Amino acid sequence: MKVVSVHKFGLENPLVIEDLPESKAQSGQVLVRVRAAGVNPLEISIRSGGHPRSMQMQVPFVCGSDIAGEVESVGAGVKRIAPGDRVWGRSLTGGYAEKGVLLEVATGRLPDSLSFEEGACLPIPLLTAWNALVIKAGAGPGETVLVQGGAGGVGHMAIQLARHMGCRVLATASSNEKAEFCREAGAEEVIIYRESNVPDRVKEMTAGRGADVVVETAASENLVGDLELLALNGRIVVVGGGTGKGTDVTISLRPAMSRDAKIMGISSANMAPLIPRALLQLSSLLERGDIQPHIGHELPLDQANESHELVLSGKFLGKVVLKV
Amino acid sequence: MKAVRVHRFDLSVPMQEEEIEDSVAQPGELLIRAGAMGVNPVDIAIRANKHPYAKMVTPPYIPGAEAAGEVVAIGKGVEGFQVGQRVFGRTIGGGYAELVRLPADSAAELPEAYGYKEGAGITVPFSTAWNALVIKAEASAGETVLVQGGAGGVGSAAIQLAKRMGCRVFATVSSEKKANFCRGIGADETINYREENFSDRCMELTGGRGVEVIVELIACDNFDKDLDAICIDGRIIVIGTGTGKGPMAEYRVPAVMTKDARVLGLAVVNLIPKLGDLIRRFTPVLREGTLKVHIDQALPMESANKAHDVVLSGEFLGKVVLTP
Repeated sequence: MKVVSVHKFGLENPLVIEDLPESKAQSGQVLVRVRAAGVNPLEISIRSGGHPRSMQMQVPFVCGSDIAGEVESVGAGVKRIAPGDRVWGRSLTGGYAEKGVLLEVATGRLPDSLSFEEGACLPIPLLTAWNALVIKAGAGPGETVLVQGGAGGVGHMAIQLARHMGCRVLATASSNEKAEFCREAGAEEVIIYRESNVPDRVKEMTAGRGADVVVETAASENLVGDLELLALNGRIVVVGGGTGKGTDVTISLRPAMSRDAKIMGISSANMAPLIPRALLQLSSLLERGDIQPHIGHELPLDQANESHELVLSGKFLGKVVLKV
Repeated sequence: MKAVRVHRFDLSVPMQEEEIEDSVAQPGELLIRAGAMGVNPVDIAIRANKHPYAKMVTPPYIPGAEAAGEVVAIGKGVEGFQVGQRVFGRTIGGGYAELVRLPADSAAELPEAYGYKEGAGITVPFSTAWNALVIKAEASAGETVLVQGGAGGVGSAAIQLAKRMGCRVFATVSSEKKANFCRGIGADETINYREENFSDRCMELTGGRGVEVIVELIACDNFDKDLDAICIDGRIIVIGTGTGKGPMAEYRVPAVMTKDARVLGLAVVNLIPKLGDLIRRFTPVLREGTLKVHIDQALPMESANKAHDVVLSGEFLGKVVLTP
C-alpha cells in the first residue's frame, strides 16, 4: 500500500512517499480502505521533532492519523462494525496511507450526508473540540464561549459545537475573510485580533463580565490576554500552543486567582478512554447535520509536503485534506 | 385592585374574585400591572393542601407563581429596571391579581418577540426545565433526554431546552394530539404511554442502551419503569409527582445500584439563590426568539376556577394563563 512517511525529524526533511506491506486488523480492530486523510497541525509538530510525542516515535513512521473510508475487514470479536461500513477515526498505523487501522470502540460512523473528505476533517478537530467544550469546560447553554483561532480545524468545529450546546459564541480570526467564515459557522461576533485588543472587545461584548469559556488554540500568544477577559469561574482550555509557535508563556497569577479561573490542558492521547462515549453522543449530532466540516483545500496524497506548507502558512479556511 | 383568592385549602371550595387593597412594591421588588398570569399545577397542589408550600400561605391568599406585565413601581434598592418596562418573573404574594409584586432579582425584561401571555408562561416552566437539565442533570450535547409528560408547561419547556442544548429528545404523551404538539416543538420521538411500554420503547430507540436523562413530571406513576429506561450513569430528575398524585412511588434499590443511577430532586425554593445566574444565562437563549410558549387558553381572571379545572384535567397543550 502507498503511504507517506517521516524518515527524518525536521521540517526541512521532506515527507517520503513509499510502498509498505498492508496492515491487518487485529482483535478488536477494523481495517479501513482510506478515501481521505485529514492534515492536522499535530502531525506537523510531531514531524518537526519538537513535540513531546516526537520522542515516542521511531523513524520511519507513517505521518498523520485522521482518516475516513470504507471498512475492508474486521478483526476477531468485532461486532458493531462490518465490512462496507463508512467510517471515520484516528488510525493506529498512521493516516497518510491507503489503508488504516481503527479500534472498533473508537470508530465513528460516517453519516451518508457527509463525504469521505468531510469525514477526514472530523477526528482530531471534532474530538478535540468535544474534549474542550463538553468534557473539560462543561460548557452549558447561555454561557459565552470565546474560540481563539476560529477559522482553523479545531476552531471551526468548536464554534459549531458550542452553538449547538446553546452557548453564545465569540471568535477571533486574523482576517475579514476568516471572520466571515467564523460567522457562517455560528459565531455571533468575531474579533480580528490584528486590529483590536481582544480582551477589551470581549469585555465590551459581555457587558464587562467576560467570557465563561475560552477554547485556546494559540496559548503561547494569547494566554495572558485570556486571563484578563475571563469571567468569574471561567475556564480556559488549552488546545494548542499555536501552529509553529513556542510552547512557553509567562502569566500573572493574580487574574487567575481573582476569577477562580481554571486553566485546563488537553491532549488527544489522554482522551483515548473517553472516545467511545464521545462518539456515541457525537453520532446524534452528526446524523442531524449539526456539524458541517469545511474543506479549505483538497490535495492528492502525493502532495503531502505541499499540504504541510499550506497548513503552516495558515492561508486556508477549515481543513486541508489529502485524497487517497 | 381585583384579585382572585383562595379562602380554603379545598378544591371543592371555589376561589373568589374580589376587590382588595392594592399591593405595594417592597424593597427589592417590582410592582407590575399584570398583562397575564401563569397557572401552574403547583398552584392547585397548594390550594388542595397537598404541597409542602401550603404551609407558607394562610387563606385567604392569592395563588399564582408567575406573571408578566408592565412595571408601575420600583421598590427601594432595585437597579436596572424602569417604570413602563415590559417584564416577566416569579411572583411574591401571589399572581392572580391586577397588580403583582415580583422580586427584582428573579425578574427580567420580556423580549419583544413575546407577548404578555407568553411572558406569563416562561418563568416557572423554563426555570424548572433549566434547573433539571442544566443544573441537576448537566445534560450534554448528544445525550438522550426523556421528558415524561412532554405536552405540559414544564414538559414543553424541557423538550425545547434539551433540544437547544444539542440533546436527542424523547417525550411521553397520552394522545396523538399531544404527540404532534411535542414533535412540533422539537421532540425527536414521542411515546404514547397508554399504548406502549415507554421503557421498552426507550431501549429500542437507543439500541438497548437506555436514555441518559429522564425529566420526570409524573414520578408516582413512572419512577419504577424509569429505572428500566435509564442507561448506566443515567440521571432521573424528579420534578413532580403528577398533578393530583402522590406522594409515594416504588423505588427498586437494586435497579438504582446496578445502573449507577442518580435520582435528583428539585424544588423552586432551593433554586431561588441561583436564579440570578440562571436568568443571566437564560436571557441570551430566550432572546434568540426560538423558544415557544404555547398558550392553550387565556382565561379572564374571574374564570380562575375553570383554569384550575383545565389544568387538573390534563386536557391542554403548553400553558393556561389568566388575564386581568
